[in-house]
Amino acid sequence: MANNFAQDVLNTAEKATTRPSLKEVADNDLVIRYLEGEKRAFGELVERYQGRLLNFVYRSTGDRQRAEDLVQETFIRVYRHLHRFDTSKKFSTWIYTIASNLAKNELRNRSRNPLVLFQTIKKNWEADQRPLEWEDNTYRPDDLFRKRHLKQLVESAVEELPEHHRQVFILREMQGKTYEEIAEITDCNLGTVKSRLNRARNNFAQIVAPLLA
Amino acid sequence: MIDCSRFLMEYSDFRDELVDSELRAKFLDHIESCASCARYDRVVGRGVSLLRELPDPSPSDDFGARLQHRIFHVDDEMRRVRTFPRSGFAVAATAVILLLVSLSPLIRENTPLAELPAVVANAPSQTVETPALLRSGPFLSPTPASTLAPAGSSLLGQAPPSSPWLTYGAAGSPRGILTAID
Repeated sequence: MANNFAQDVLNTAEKATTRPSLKEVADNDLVIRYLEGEKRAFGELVERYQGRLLNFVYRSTGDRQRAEDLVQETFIRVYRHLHRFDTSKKFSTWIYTIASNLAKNELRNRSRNPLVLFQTIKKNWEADQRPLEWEDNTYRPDDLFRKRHLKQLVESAVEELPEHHRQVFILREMQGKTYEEIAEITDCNLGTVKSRLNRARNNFAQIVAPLLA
Repeated sequence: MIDCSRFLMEYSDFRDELVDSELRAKFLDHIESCASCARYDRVVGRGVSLLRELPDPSPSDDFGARLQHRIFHVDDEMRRVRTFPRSGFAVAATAVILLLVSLSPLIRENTPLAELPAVVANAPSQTVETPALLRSGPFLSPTPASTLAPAGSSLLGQAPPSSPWLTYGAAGSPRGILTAID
């Protein structure tokens, strides 16, 4: 009995010394280690994905606070169903699929909400009615300012893209996903991804062309 | 050589380097020769690089704490779910056992079904005066069957358990008996 206990302790110690630290292991190995009982492995997954997912969901929905809620919800769903994750698949594709679906639902619900519709109309109206400023900052010969302003314009150009184009565009251009991964995340076939991405780039170019000329 | 419409149609493949070297060379040739498509390529490239320079939104300070809190509740819920199936199983098992017991022929009441002869009541020969409310008059009272019917004349050799208003004759045919008492 005592021998067994000692052996267990030795095995655990050996494991601890031979196992690479959580920072070094691949996502799927983190999942395996979490399922083996190493609770900190989930924390490492959160650490790795919180920023990326927040960026993706924020760019998709355009609402910073809501994006954070949705990212939290994504992690909760991952946590609940981690034991069902097929470790032969790519973890990042799985977690992005969950986040993407939540973002899509958010946009769908928002479009049905009359209050949001009213706020959008109000925002546009306010932008149109705003009096001209004495100093037009748009043409201020300050490179730094101009660049920042351009970035804002480019950012809002992405928001102008239709939803299904926008997601594909963000996943490719900002998150660096492959066509196959995008197809899996958005639940579309490869042809649809290609055509949407091409259209998204075309739309994007049309919107930003006057700014970048 | 490729034309502008093909350039725009297949631009994504070119940009993502999904075309072979021969086609890529054709795209580059077209960019060299067509100012409009060259501008298109420049605009997409510049726009995307500006987009990538945007600062990533970082999670708020309490993001981790909130997530931890929610995970604690999920754990709690999962613990309950793990516990409940066992008690649920116990309840279901008890229900099945009770059902089996109730259906068991050993437990069920084994009462034989007997077909009884029709009950016929004969009206008494003597007229019965209906009871008066304000004056004294006859009223009806049941006559115990035992006083009227001889022992053994009732059905199955026993006195009928119920109505004292009916008694059974020797032949087994019941007779209604009403006694008028002044």
